[in-house]
Amino acid sequence: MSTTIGRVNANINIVTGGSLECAHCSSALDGDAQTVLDLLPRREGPASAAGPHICADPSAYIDAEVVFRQYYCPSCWTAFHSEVVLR
Amino acid sequence: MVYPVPGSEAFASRGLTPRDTIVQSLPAGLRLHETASSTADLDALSYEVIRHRLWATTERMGQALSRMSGSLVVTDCNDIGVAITDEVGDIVQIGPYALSLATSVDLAIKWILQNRKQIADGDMFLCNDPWVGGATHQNDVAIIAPIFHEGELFAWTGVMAHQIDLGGAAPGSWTPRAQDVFMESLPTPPVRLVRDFEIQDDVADVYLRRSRMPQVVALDMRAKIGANKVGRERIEELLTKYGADAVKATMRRQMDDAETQLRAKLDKIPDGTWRAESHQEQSHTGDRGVHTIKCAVTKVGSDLHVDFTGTSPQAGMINCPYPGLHGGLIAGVIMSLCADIPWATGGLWRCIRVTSEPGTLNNAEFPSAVGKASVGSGMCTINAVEECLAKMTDASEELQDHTFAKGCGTWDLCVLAGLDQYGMPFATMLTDAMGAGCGATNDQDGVDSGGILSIPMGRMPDVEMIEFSAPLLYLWRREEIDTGGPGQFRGGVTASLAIVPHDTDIPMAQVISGSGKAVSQNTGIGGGYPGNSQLDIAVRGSDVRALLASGSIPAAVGEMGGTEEILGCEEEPVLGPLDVHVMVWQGGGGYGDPLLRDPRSVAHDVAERLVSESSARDIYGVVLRGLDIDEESTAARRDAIRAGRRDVAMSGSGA
Repeated sequence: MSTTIGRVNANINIVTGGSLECAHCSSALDGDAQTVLDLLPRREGPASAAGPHICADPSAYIDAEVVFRQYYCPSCWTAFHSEVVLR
Repeated sequence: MVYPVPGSEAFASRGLTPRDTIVQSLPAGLRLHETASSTADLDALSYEVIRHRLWATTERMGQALSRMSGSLVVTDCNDIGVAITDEVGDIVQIGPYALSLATSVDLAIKWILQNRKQIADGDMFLCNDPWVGGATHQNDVAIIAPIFHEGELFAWTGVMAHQIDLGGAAPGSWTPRAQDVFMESLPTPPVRLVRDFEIQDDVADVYLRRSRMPQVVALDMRAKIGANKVGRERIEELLTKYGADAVKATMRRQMDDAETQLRAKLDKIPDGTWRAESHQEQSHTGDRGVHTIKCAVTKVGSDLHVDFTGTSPQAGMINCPYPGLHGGLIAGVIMSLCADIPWATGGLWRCIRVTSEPGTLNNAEFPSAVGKASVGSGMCTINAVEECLAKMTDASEELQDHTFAKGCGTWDLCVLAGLDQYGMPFATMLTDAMGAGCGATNDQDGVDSGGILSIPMGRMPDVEMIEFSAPLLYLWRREEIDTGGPGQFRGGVTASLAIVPHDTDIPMAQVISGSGKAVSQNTGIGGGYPGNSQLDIAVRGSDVRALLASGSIPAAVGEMGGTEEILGCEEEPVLGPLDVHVMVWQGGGGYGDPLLRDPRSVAHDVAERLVSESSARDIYGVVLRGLDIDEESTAARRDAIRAGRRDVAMSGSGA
């Protein structure tokens, strides 16, 4: 049984030995505080996939592609990070 | 392409000059007040009374400015800044107004001490040079006053306000066409506007002659002089009642306490590095690029290193010189960490080290265009710093309650100018965006239309006052559904407006300047979504006049007739007599996964028209029957959304 000794953020705990766990379902997560996000499963879609509040077509303003990206716990599929950013 | 101007480096402030260096460079005959007593000699009661009097003095100075001004930006919006510093310009107390207007006045005062001779009682200096400090862009004009006591320089007061027009190529002094600062309002390094308590008419004329609205700007100039006078009187009262040594010891201790208390907080947070980026689309008219401020905050022990390495090169007119970085960074620190710490940046800066590359967006070199510095790269500096600090506090069990998502990340600027119904020239800046949505915290929704966090006393002006001061008619100003970033705690919703020209058939010149339209600036945190996209629309050749004549008020773009035109981030269009301008500014980002939000809160939001039923179902996974929660369907819906996430991520359409 691992013991929580700290946190990376509200979604990710640091447990005995320095490994990481989901704060919601206690599943083990890969990586460390700096790399954990990049190692999570994610989905990427058009900016409009974030919801009706992301209302404009990015191509009306800029040449770069803009995406809605979301990172999840690989076990309980809680969203750890959501962003509308450049691809 | 911006070419270097030889000699311009003499006006470039880049960081706080140490006290010893200032003292060594003082003009002959200028004596500083040095307290004989240490802060330890100050009893606790006197300290609390004097420091609260200093705090109240900044508020009183702001009120004095606001009540004397004739500009809506000041009287109804509080786009002003106020500060009190010690004798060498280290800030003892910031007033609760636009923080970044006040937080670089320290650089300007240190510049004055090193570059202006014969500083004397009764002087006041005017400055709107964004490279010197005390101003983020040229529209923010500072008037700075030394306070002497028994022949010694004791302290300074600074009063800043956004001026509605100071010349340049476009009304409002803010042109997206600017290639360099010579196409903008003239930056003026500190000049002695007041000598021996008398306004110097020649200096005032040089200043006011540049404006399209000289009477309004002249009134603001006098209002700032008056506000400095209020500050001087209040501080003199303190000196009379408590003595100079006690007041100076309070100033020292206020800064020491700010440092000590910030260090105590930082000590509670695990060491680490946190990163963020803040983007601006389009740097000038015709640009289709994205320009990024990169920030990495590293905390070791009780020290912060804020590193902007990798920030995009200066571009167009969205840049800010170093004082904009300086003021924006410390404003972010104040908002994120100092709710219960004195706003004495002279002490806070002792905990912070900065790395930045000259020639970049928030360390722009002369003569780059900087007309949008305040809400361009200045505000994006705040965005990036606040996001880093939010991630930092979210890593701390003890300080997690300091964590908040970003609110509005810029300003949706709309300047209008032309001739009013009397044939007289007018220029106005819509300041409704002061009512932007706030970001959510780790245990609360963001405040709906709560304002811009770094302008604590900012106010949304009264529509009637705007209509009174300019030939405009509001079709609506209202909160907009779904504009708050979804989250376990929802970002505050924001608002929109629609205006038409009124009582005049003369086309109006406009400046439209605002980012966050394609890439979010109002970021969420912890799985929370960003807030809404900013949006400006022109409806050309509308039927609004006919509709109004028939007794009908259109309540949506689709009800106006005419042709819809999406406006870019940086444009100077014309608003015709039958055109409508619609703008939606930014709401706040959310905190946490929206699937974790209490369904009762979602139902409440739907009932209040803050969240649509479709967003409740598709984003929050809450199924409603009327306004009642269908708990079984909600559980199934949330399971289905999680399964959908898994399927999409595992199918390879993810990373």
